[in-house]
Amino acid sequence: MSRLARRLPFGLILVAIYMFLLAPLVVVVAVSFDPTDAFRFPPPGLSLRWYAAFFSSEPFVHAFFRVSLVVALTVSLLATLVGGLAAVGLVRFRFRGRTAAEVAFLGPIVVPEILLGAALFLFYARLRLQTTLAALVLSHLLIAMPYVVRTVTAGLSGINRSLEEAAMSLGASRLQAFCRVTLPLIRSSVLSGAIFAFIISFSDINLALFLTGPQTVTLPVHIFSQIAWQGDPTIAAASTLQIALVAVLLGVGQRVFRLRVAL
Amino acid sequence: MSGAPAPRTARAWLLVGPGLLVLAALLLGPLLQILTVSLFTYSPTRIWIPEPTLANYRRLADPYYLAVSWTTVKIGLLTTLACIVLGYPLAYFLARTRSRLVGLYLFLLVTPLMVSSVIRIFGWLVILGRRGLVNSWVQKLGLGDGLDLLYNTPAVVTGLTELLLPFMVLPLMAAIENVHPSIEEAARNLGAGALHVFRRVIVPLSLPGLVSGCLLVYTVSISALVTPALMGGRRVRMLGNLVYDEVLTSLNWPFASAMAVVLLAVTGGVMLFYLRTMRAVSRSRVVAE
Amino acid sequence: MIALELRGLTKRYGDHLAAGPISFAVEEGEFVSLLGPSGCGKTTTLRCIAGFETPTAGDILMDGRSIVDRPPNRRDIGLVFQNYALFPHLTVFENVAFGLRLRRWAAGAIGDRVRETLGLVELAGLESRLPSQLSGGQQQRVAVARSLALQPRLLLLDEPLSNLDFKLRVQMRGELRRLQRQLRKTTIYVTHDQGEALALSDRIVVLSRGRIVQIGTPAEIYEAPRSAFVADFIGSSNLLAAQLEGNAQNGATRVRAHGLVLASAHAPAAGAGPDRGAVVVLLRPERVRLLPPTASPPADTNAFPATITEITYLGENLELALEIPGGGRLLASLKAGAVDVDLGRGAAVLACVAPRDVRLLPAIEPEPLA
Repeated sequence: MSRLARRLPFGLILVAIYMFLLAPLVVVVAVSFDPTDAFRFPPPGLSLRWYAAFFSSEPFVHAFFRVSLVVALTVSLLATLVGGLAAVGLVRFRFRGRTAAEVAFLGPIVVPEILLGAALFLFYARLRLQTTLAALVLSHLLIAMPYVVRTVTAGLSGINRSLEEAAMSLGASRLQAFCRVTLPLIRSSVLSGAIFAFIISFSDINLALFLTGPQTVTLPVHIFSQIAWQGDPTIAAASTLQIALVAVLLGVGQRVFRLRVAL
Repeated sequence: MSGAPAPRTARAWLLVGPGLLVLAALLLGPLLQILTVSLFTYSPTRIWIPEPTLANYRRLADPYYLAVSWTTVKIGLLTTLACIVLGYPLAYFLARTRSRLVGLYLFLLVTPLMVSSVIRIFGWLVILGRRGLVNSWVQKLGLGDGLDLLYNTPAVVTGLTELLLPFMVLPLMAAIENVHPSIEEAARNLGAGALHVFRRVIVPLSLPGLVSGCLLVYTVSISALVTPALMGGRRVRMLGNLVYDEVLTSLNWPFASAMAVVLLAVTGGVMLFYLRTMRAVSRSRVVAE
Repeated sequence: MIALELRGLTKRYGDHLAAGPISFAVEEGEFVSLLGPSGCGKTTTLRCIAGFETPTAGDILMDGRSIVDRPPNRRDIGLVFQNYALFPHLTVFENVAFGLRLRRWAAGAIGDRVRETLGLVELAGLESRLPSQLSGGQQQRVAVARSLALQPRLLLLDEPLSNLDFKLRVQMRGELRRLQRQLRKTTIYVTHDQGEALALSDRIVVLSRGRIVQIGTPAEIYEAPRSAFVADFIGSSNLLAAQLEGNAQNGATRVRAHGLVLASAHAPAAGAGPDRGAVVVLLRPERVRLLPPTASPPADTNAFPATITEITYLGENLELALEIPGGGRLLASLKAGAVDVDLGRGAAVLACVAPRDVRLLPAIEPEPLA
């Protein structure tokens, strides 16, 4: 058997697995361009009518731009700030309880999301905060923060202490050394963390299902309700827009900031 | 130097403080509340009365809830198994390939992960639905009127597997990368065919990654909500669906809390078991050295 | 009888030619070294023989039959890796038994063969240890035992001693040689260490930039290198640019190097290139004898005055840097015990080199061997 013949079955298996992985997304994107609503693949033609429908649908537009986008940007900012500071504290300082703190920051990843959703819902109900944007932002902050902490921690650990020490031997204070030397060097980790936080917030469904109210419907939740009520391919258009957003962010993150997803 | 450590520690807590505050307020607090509410009595008028009772937990032993729990565990195991079978070849390829397109392959693996699960499920509905792609081909080929591919266990397992496959592939890939290629080559040189090398060398040495992946896939799949809701219909209900219904529809928050606590205990238990085993494994390795 | 033959073996990676065309044959029971600097293609060649690389062109024949299309697990060739590649999750016994288990040997037979092989490499008693519990030298022996247990037709070793410290390397070198002689196993050994190649081999194949530049016994390679590259790579050397000076009496060749005129007992290599009179003179430092400046040199010897500029004490040897007439520099090497001349920086000496120790090499690197 020639070498190529031996490699072929494995190659086919790989292609099949990738097709399985990407099939739903490919179908969604294709359907979004289908001029009819017959959900056919490949679509018989190309049309932007569903995108037009998306932009003229008040609930969709509100969900995408006034809720999801706003929340995700806020979460990204807050998570990067809070998580970044925490990462610096965890990596650069030795203190009692540091290990416990490190483990604590992994907490939100360990707890299943629906449990967080239910727990937060009950918690906010007590405070009468249930369905506000603030509640959503805080909740997403909770699940995005660990990823920022992890990304920035990894970036910081890769930096040699002696760089800061060299700066200090040249007259810089600790803070100056940190700001002028370390901070620029971890820029890509911080930005990766920010991108990560944005995507996690934007794509979240499990928490949002518990926490959204009439004025605060996120895009994924609206898609969910549309599916449940047997909507039309506008869903596909909305989905494709989200896919595009995520793909661009990930692509930029991977290329420019060497974002690496590690679990 | 007695003054030196104190201000540094204070600064550390200042940095870590806000994050810990978020954790305490939004993680610890709500979870503790769930624990307490699960022990309260349900009241249709006031949602709960602070009278301690174990009725909520006892209700979970009802045959209906046991059946749902069994479905949940079953689906979790099936999904994990499917992810192992599909994940190993992919993880091996990604770990060993020297192609310059490896970044692209990783991108294609990770992007679906980051896209909302509803969107992927929507795709599956289009593919598997009664008026969907598969059925349109079935009808075109004259193989019948149409298959009921949705609203059953295999559909939910399919959806969850596609969703969670990257969770298995990523840790497995990292573990395989740690096995030096020359070890595989040594095995081949000694006469092992590809399958043998896989079974005798790759699998034992990538076990930590496999366990990690199984853990991730299992715990996420047993707490699934959206997938069974949209792809399982009335027939396939998992614990996640029940929690959602009890919280938002029935408003029986004590009972919902009890279910949540049980789910948390199960996932927590699996995690603990994993950490215990991992520590034992690494301890035995250290002794060997 | 020829055990292995390479015919025009070539390996390209895209546009880059890693090795080839390479052709040579290995006799049954022979120990052949592939020697050369890093990047010379020796490891690539070895991996082609083992089957982990596919040649772009050319053929590999074992016992007269082509094995190029055979997968690496069907070649009956043992390969000892540079990093040993021991299975970390298996004991020494299981590592050595690995190939035997694959061939479904009976448990008793496996036990016998494993113990016998471990005895050969002097590791008896360590069967139940894990690789992480062994020293570097022990791991290396397990790697060798693992391949030998299958009694392969051919044994390939990829720089197996490079991860060991000096003393251990010398010791293991001796053991490998003893083992190979005892088993009469056809062996191909890849190394960049010329001392190892000289000590171990029946023949050495010297490679440079993917091509063979010389094949010969260690003595041939050392005494009669084909080119300045080979001379410089094996042992230390003094290489002087020189011009031929017509034929001298007694069939000796005369050359002029810097300010020196030397007589060589050898015929010049066929001159290639524009300057047919240009050669490179090779003088091995240990063949340069030093006499007091006023002594009378023996007859028929090249003798010239020199000044010592640097002395390096190496324990066993003394290495002296000499300045010779015409401003050139020469290295001489003496045994520290055998000194009968006044040594000190700046001292004047009379340097003597016998004509047969004056080798003439081509000024331009000759074509590689097919």
